[in-house]
Formats: sequence, C-alpha cells, structure tokens
Amino acid sequence: MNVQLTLAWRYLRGRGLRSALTTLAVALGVMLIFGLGGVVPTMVETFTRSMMSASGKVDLTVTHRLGQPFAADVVDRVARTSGVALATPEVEQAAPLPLKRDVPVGEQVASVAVVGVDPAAAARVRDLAVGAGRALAVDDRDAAILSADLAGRLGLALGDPLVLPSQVGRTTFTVVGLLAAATVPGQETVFVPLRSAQDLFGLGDRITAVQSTLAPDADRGAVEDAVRATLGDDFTVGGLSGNSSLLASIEVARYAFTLFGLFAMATAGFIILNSFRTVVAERRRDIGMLRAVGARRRTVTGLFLAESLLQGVLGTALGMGLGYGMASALFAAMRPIFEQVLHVSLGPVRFEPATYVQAVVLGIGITVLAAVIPARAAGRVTPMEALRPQAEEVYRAGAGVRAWVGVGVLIAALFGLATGQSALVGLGAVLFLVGIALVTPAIVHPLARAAGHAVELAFAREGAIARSNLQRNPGRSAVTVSAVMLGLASIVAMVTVVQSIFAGFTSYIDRSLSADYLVIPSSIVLSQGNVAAGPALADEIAHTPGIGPVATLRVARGRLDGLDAQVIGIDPDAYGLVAGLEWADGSSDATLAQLASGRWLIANGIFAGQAGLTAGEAVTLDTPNGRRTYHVAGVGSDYLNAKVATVYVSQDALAQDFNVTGDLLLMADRTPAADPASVEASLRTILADYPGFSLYSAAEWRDEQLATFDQTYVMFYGLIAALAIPSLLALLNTLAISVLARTREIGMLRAVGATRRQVRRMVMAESLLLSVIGTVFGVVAGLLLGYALVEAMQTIGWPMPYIFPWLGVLLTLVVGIVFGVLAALVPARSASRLDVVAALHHE
Amino acid sequence: MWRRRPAPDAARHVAPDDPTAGGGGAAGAAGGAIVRTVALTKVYGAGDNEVRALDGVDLTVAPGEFVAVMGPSGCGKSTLLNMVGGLDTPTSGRVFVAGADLTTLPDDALTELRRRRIGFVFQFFNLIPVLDAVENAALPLTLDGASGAAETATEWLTRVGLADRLRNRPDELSGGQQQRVAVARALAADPALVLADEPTGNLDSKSATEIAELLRQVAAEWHRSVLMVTHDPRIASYAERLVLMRDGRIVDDLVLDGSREAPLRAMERSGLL
Repeated sequence: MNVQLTLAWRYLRGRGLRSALTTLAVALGVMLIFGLGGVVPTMVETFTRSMMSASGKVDLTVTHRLGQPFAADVVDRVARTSGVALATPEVEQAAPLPLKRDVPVGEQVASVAVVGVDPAAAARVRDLAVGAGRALAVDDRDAAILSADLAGRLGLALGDPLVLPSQVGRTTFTVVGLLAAATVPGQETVFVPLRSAQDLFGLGDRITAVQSTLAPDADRGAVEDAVRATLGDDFTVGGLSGNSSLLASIEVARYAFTLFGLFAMATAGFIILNSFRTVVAERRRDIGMLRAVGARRRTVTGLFLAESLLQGVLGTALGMGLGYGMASALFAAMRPIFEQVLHVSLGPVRFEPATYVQAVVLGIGITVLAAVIPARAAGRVTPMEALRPQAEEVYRAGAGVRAWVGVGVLIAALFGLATGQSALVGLGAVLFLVGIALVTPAIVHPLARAAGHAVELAFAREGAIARSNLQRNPGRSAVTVSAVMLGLASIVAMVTVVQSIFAGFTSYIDRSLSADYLVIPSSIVLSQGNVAAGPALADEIAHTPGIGPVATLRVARGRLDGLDAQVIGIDPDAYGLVAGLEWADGSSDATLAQLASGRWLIANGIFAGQAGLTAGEAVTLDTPNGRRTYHVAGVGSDYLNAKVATVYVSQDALAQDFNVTGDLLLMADRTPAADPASVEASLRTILADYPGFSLYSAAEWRDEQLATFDQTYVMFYGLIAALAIPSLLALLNTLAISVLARTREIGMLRAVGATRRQVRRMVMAESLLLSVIGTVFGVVAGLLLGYALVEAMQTIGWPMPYIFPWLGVLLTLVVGIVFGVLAALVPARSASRLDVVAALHHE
Repeated sequence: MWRRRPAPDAARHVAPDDPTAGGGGAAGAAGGAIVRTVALTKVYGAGDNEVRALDGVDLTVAPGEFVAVMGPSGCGKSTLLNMVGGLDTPTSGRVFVAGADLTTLPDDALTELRRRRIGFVFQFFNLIPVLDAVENAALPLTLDGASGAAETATEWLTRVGLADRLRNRPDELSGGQQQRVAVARALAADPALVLADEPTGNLDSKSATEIAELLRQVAAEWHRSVLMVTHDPRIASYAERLVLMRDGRIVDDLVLDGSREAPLRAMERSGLL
C-alpha cells in the first residue's frame, strides 16, 4: 500500500476516539443530505403518481388546463384531427374509501382512482387484460373491474359489492372482473363504465379526459400541435395537469431540508478543519522528522489529504447507512399521517442515482476540502521542527485581508436578505454565515474582551488568563466559534420555522374553523381525492333539530394572470355566521358581504402576494366557461386552504362560471338550547350514508390536528439534535489542542503555585468564552436565517406568521453554555492532572 | 595522548586529489571529503539584536570518519549540524555534502539528498508512534518508493541488536531501544553521512554508552561518516576526532585516542570549562 495511505490509516487508528468523533461529524452531515435526499423525491413521486393516471397504451391525453370537467364534444374534435386513430372519453377522479377504526391505517387502502371508460373502446387505449371474470360490457351499469391484488387488499372477490362515496352519499358497484396486472402502490385504480362514473361524481355528460391513440405513421409532435390548434389554449395536450400547489409545498420542504443538510455539512467542514489543525499541531515533530529523513512537502501534504480521504470515505459510508435508516424511520412515522390526512399512500424509500452522487461528492469532497488548509500548513513545517524541543505557538495578529473579504460577503448577504426573493434570501443567509466565519478571526479580540467580563464575574483571575489564551490564537478560536455558530444557528432557524408553521396553523384553526360541528371530507387538501356531496346533505343537516346556521365550501380550479388557483365557493351570508376568514389589513367581514353582489372575489394571503392583487382591482379569471371579469373585494384566509393559492367567490358565481354545485366541507352551529348529545347523534345518522365524510366537533378536530403536530415536532427535534452534536465535537477539539499546546505553560502555572482547581477553572473559562461568543453569533445568525426561511416559505406558498423563537433562543443559550462546560470537562481534567515535572520538560 | 590535527587549510593543500577543492560541486569520489563547509556563517536578527550563530566555519569530514562536536550552549554546534543536514540555510558561505552544494539546491532536490545520502539521529528519537520498528526503520526507503524496504530495515535492526523487537511500536520500546531503531533508520537508505544531534541526551548512562559504541561501529565497521553533536565529554570520547566550538567559531580540532578523559582535557585546554 502507498506509504501515505498506510500512515494515514495508522494515525487514524492510533487516535481512535478523536477519529471516530470527527468521522461522526461527517456522517451526520451526510446522513441529513442523503436521508432527506431519499425522502423528498419519494414524496414528490408519490404525489405525482397519485395525480397522473397510468396511461397504458394511450398516445395522447387531453385534459382541461384547469383540471376541470369539460363537454364531451371535445372527443369528436380530437377524433377528427388528422393522425388520430381513436379518441375515447374518460372520467377520472379519486374516491376516498372509509377507513376501518380497528385496522392500522398503513395496512388499508385509503383511496382509489375511479376511472370511467367507454367499454367499447377501453381495451384499445388501456391495458385491461382480465385474469378472472369478464371485461366491462357496453350495457353494464354499476359494474367494476380492478386488479386482483387490489381486490385482495380490499377483501373483495368476483361478484362482491364495492361501495364508493358519491354525490348522493354512496353508490354500490359489483365486481365483475379482476385484472391480471398487479397494482403499483399509489395507483390503486377501479375501472367502471363511463356513464356510472359520471353519475357517481355528478358530472352530467361532462368528462375529464380524452384518451387517444395515433395512426401508425403519424408524427406525434405534429398531431399534438394539430390538437392544440383545434382545441385552443384551454386544454392541455400530453400529460395530465398536476396539482401544482401541493408540489410547490413539497418543493419548499426540499429547499428547507437541503439548506439544513448543507448547514450540517458546513459544520462538519469546520470541525474537520479544526480537527486537522489540531492533528498538524500535535504532529509537528513527526512531520519535521519525516521531512528530515526525506519526505517531500507534497508527500506530507498528501499524507494529511489521504487521512481526510479515509475519513471522508468512512464518514460518507456510515452517513449513507444512517441516512437510509433515517429515511426509513421517517417514512414509517409519516405513512399513517399521509394516509389518514391526505389519503395518499407512500411508496417505499427510493434513492435516485443523483442522491448517491450528491452524498458521495459532498461527503468526501467537503472532508478533503476542509483538510486542504491544514494539510498545506503541514507541508510547510520545516525539518527543523524535529529538532526543536517544543512547538512554539505564535502570537498572531488579526486576519487582515480575509476579514475585509468577510465584510464584503456580509454586505452582499444583507443585500440578498433585503431583496425578499426566496432564492436570494436563502443565498443571503448562507453568505451571512460565511461572512461571519471570515470576519470572526479579526473580531475575536474585542469579542473575547467583551464576553470576558461576563466570564470573569464567575472565574476572576483564571478568566483573564483564559481570555488572553483565546486572543493568542484568533484563527483557531474563530474556527471553533464558527462551528458552534453554525450548529446553533441551525437550531434557532429550525425552531423558528417549526414554531411559525405550527403557530400559524393553530391560530388558523382557532379563528377560521370556529363552528361547533365540522363535516370534513377524507382529504384535508380539499381539491384532491374527495367526492363532493350534493345539496341534499347540507339540506338534511340544516333541518336537523338543534342545528342553527350551516355553511358549506365548494371547490373548483381557476387561473388568474397565468397563475393556478383553487376557487372556493362560499355562501357570503351563512359563512360569516359559523366561520370566518383571517383578514389582512383593510379587509373585514363587510368584504365578505360584497361577494354576494356578483363577480367579486377574496384572495387568500399567498395568492394575493403571488398575483399582486389590490382591493377594488378588476381581474380576469379563467373558468371552464371562458374568461370572466371579477373584482377583488379584499384579502383573507382560512385554515384549510392557508397553504394553497386560493380565491373565494360566492357559490352562485361558482355554479354559474365553474359549473360546481357539490359541497366539500360543511360547518354547522348548534342552537344555544339544544342538547349536544342528541344533536350529534342525529348528525351521525345522516352521515352514515356519506362514507366520504367524517363528523367532528370543533374541539375533537383541533385535538386531532394538534396530535399530528406533536408527531411532527418529535421528528423535527430529532433533526435538530443531529445538527447540534457536531458543534460539541468542534468545541472539544479546540480545547483539547489548546491544552496540549500549552502543556509546558500549564506545568509552569502549577510549578509557581496554581492549584489543580485553578487550572481546571482556567480551561473551563476558556471553553465558556468560546461557547458564549459562538452562541451569541449563532443566535443572531439563526434569527436572520429563520426569518429568511419563513419569508421564503411565505413567498413560495406556505403562509405563516413569523414567530419569534423565544423557546429556541432560550434553548440555544442553554445548549451553548452546557456544551461549553461539557466540552471542557475532559481537557480540563487532563490539564489539571498534568505531572508538573513532566509538563515542564514537555517535548 | 592526543595530537593536533592540521588546520583545515593545510588539509586542503595536503590532499590535492580532493575533487571539491578546485571549484566545488563535482561529485565526491572515494577518498574525497563527505562534508566540507566554506566560511559558513549564520546570522540571526539584525542591528543590536544580531547574533552570529556561525561565524566563518570551515570544516571537512572524511569518509568513514567519526567526528564529535562539543562546546557550550549557544556555541553554534547544533546550527552547524542543521546546515550540514540541509535543514537550515546559511546566511553566507557554502556547504558541500557528498560533492553537492546544498546552498544551491531547491527544496525537492535537498529533500532527496537527505533521503538518500544523509541519515539523522535525533535527541528525542522522533519515531512515528503508530508504526512498528521495521516500518520506522524502513521509512526513508518507503518514502523513496524502493523495493525490499522491510528486508533492508530488518537487516539493520538485527545489526543494531533489535532482532527480537522488530514488530514492537515505539511505546513498547525502552529509550535505548528506540534510539537503536533511529540509528537503523538512519542507515537504512545506505547514506554516506549520519548526523546525530545529542543522540544520548535523553538516555540513561548505560544506554548512552551503548549508543555511542553503536555510532563508533557505524563509522569503523560500516564505513559511514558520523558527525555528532554532544554535551557529554564521555560520549564524545568514542569519536576519533573532536571539534570544539565557541561563539560560532571552531576553537580546536584534534584527533582522539579512545581515552575517556581526552575530550575533557581538550576542553580544559581551550578554556571551555
């Protein structure tokens, strides 16, 4: 084996504990990057898959650009286009299945995609090979076919009834055939005759897609263009239009997670830098000897790079293993939440090649990169070091040029933060940290003086020595401060975001879902996976004795200024009685009343921000029936739709322009005199016929939501802990080296009469000074970063109030000081136990 | 008991076949000097703080010669050794080792020269703590990429009397044993010159004597030149020639007869005691 690798490996093994800790720092960073790299794409894919149909033999799919049902005559227009061999209508919509209370959610099928096909043409566009029973026939009503394995999971056999929620409560289908092909998780599909699907979802004659195949010699691109020309720009030719707002939310999560992963890696980078500085200082004599007996500069540099390479490889491998475990654990924790709340089943954790590449490149790359500076310094050690009795520490002055570069970077960072654009804000936050890391060596001196006063209150004389020790090697102190800062900044930022998200949600729940009873569909993302109820349900509820006002929400999709939005229809009179919107400045309940006066709309916070809407403005809204001019009444949000771009219109306007009359969410108040138990019993009886809906009292609903939050909290705090541990390692390393470098000095202190206790207190004071400085920077940087992240999430479409993280700041201060003490324990002990004579003769 | 060596200048005239005598720089053939310094001067600091660590030192070491350098602290003996080893650069003057002018060599060439032509023995042994005896002794060869490094190292360790400690790491060896490993390392690359800086400074008197005897053997039996700096007159007595220094100058240069007291007397005569 190569001499450098041999030496590197021996040295790594020779100081096992420190190698293990440093490697662990790399592993934790890689774990976050790799693990999250597996989670987020799998989530995106799960959603995409649940939104896209498995197209089988389809060459071309035509859907409405707004994802809305459209008139069946479009089929003929597509069929007449030259190059199209066959065009057939389809209806596809998700239908939730009632969940059994006694079976774990993860083992149940939460929802199925119901696809209505033309039995005569289906076999030519879909892969519907029947393994048992028969295919759908032209004169079938309420017949269904599905894959054998899905039937097995649902406990169905040929001839069994399949109950699906529908416009009128529920519809019973009969299973007539079982498909041979297996079902991919997340693509549970039930095929029924077109007519039955239209009845089920209350679509009348309208359809949701045209599937077509091309003539054998047709040019796909040309046909697509021809179809587009025929249909105009209201239709999408190609894939189905995804639910872009949900994907946007996931993108936000990916953005945040990647940022945290990079943070962890940057922290690891500082730790490696520090650790290698320690190692180079410890081994000056070895290096000098190597140089004396004939090792070239680059051989020595190579030795340290080889060592970092080994650590990088080990840490990355370990980190990828941990990351896989973390992703699996996260999935296990999230699967029930996903299936219960969103009715989407998560597939298995899957890592893309790019994720592997990213983890390997970042893990090994950052480790080696961080070792470059110390390794080069090692190459500059002269052979004379081998002859010197002691490696002298140089009293170095400020950092000069680097500090000014740092100031420049800081200014750029503040500029980026000030722009308010999410990408620049994120970049600004990262630059801010880099800037601080660069500036720190130059300001450690005054900082140590300032912070020193506080420490001196507790440590008196030892504190003064500790302070000047820090000032003696500002470079090393700065690296430690930077590592502590990065670790703690992540904590503050993360707590800010988590608290802001949850505080936002909690306040929305309290204010906008204030009704006594909520009738909630299976999926709380209203526009996805739910089947609306016809007017009968609201009627029945309203006529239940003891029930006061009833309000409902109806949902359609529209487009404003090129931006997709969910359009919610409310009854302006009833809505204000049982619920309310969280109003932005300048809007009030009077704004709500304005909806009744025709084509007026209220935008929610994110959408108003995205589209730059102002009250009174006239806007054009794309509807399934063409473009309509609406006026903006004001800005306000409700809880359920807070993170989705939404406009509210009156239910009359929704029926007229969007053809939507089904209710997706119902809210009702009890009259003051009514008996809660009997009212609830009556409501339950009504809802027994509507398996797609659940009845909650407001308090129950709130509790259930908060319980979900708690699960998520645990997950987040796990991540936060993973981020914080590396900073402890950094602190430990710096203290160990500063004790080591001053062995002789400590011996002298002991010789002239310092007690063991005093020496211990001196090291402790030094550690506290470093951690106090690092903590202060960490809190400031974390506050900025957290603010930037909240801003970024708001811009991208996840509205939340900025919550000042008192808890996070408090936690960070405690963690910082506890770390300062913890990290000092071992070095302080070894310093105080030094043999005075041996220390004075320290080599 | 002792006799004064001819002055360096005289030596040069006496040996007209010395290839470095003419222009210097040409390779040193057998019989030529291994080490030759010409008006070697090293000045630290400037102005009032100026310290002349070496002040015009002319020294020649013949092949297979064992030379001890003594003098009070600060006399420049270690500085001289560092210059000869190519570890430090002189302010003025020249250093020839095995015919090469060290003052003109770039760092890499100097490194290669150290690796192949010079062996070092340090006061603190300076073994790599994570390598065993064979690996430590083989280091110059391993760094050179030579084949059979372990075999050569084993052979030398056997010669210095460590045949039974081949696979022990430094922390499992006594000080004397560690210094033997260092001597084996110094010899492994088959150098012409071994430089020893206080090689017994960290050893008990028994081990010190053994190491001094070993160094004598290096010169007498294995025909390497040895240049040793020491404080200990008893250790210096194992050398065949003694150079005494004070204030950066050579004050005496004499041939020893093997008596343990000879160095002490020489120092007394030169007023170094």
